[in-house]
Amino acid sequence: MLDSELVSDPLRLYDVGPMADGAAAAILCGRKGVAKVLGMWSSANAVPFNARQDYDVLYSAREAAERAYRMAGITPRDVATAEVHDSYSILGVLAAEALGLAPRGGLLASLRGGSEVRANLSGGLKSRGNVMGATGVYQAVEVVWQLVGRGPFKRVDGSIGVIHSMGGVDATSTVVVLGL
Amino acid sequence: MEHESVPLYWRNIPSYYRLAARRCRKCGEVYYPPVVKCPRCGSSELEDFQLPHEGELVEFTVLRSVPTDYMKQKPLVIGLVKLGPVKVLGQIVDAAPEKLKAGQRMEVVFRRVVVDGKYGLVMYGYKFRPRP
Repeated sequence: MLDSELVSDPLRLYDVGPMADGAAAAILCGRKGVAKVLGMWSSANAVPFNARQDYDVLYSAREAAERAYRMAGITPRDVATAEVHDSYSILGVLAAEALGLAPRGGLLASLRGGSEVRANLSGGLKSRGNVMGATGVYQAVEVVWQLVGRGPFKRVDGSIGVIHSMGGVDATSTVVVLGL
Repeated sequence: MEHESVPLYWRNIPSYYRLAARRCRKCGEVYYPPVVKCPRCGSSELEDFQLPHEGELVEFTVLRSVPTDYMKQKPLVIGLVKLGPVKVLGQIVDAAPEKLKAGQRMEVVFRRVVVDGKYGLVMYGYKFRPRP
């Protein structure tokens, strides 16, 4: 990865999720299903990119996560697995921090320190590819499969999963909390 | 890669050519690109505000993978420059990226941005360069 060609300093080719074709489907029903939607919220950051004060916080994701967690009655500690929008590698890091899975600016340090951060066990947009509109549904399916232990995923330790989908760079975010 | 449409480019000429921003008459906030309603206080009373043509480099990056229209200009240096009350995103020219430093003085220059070969339209606008 460090040898791949530079796209935009310091991001290299393999920091970028490739555009891909794909389709995903999930069935929403009123009857007892595999998993429940416990909470969801969409937030927008109306400040244009050039006018922002900080560039290391995804405010739309942070607000959407706080509201969705409150709706579901959970805290970041309850999250067993998360699928976040990492169209570029750095956005995955910032999204996981915005979801409260690590303190601001602390995710890479905690990974280096040996802690486990259960985000993007699927490989995320970087490995699956960015299938644009279908990406969020992919994430929902992947989180449910991780919660129930359906292959290719191993069952995660816990019953709450979170998905985060984003439009633009912190323009709009949607966070959904799923539980068994 | 398609750039913006011709009508949109024409509408944006005052801001591209002259860096015309808008200032809210109620709360004084300045917006570039211009807005029709103040996102901070909600007021619709905004006036023209001329941005200064000199400022300070906040941060920059070097784009080595560029849209097809910009192949001739590869690599593109894109920077955020503080012009008076606002930060403006734009291309940096006449500078080696390894010699650029955050905080250095920059000035606005008027340059050709892109030539639309299909429709024969030449689009102009502002760019930045280090102040000599």
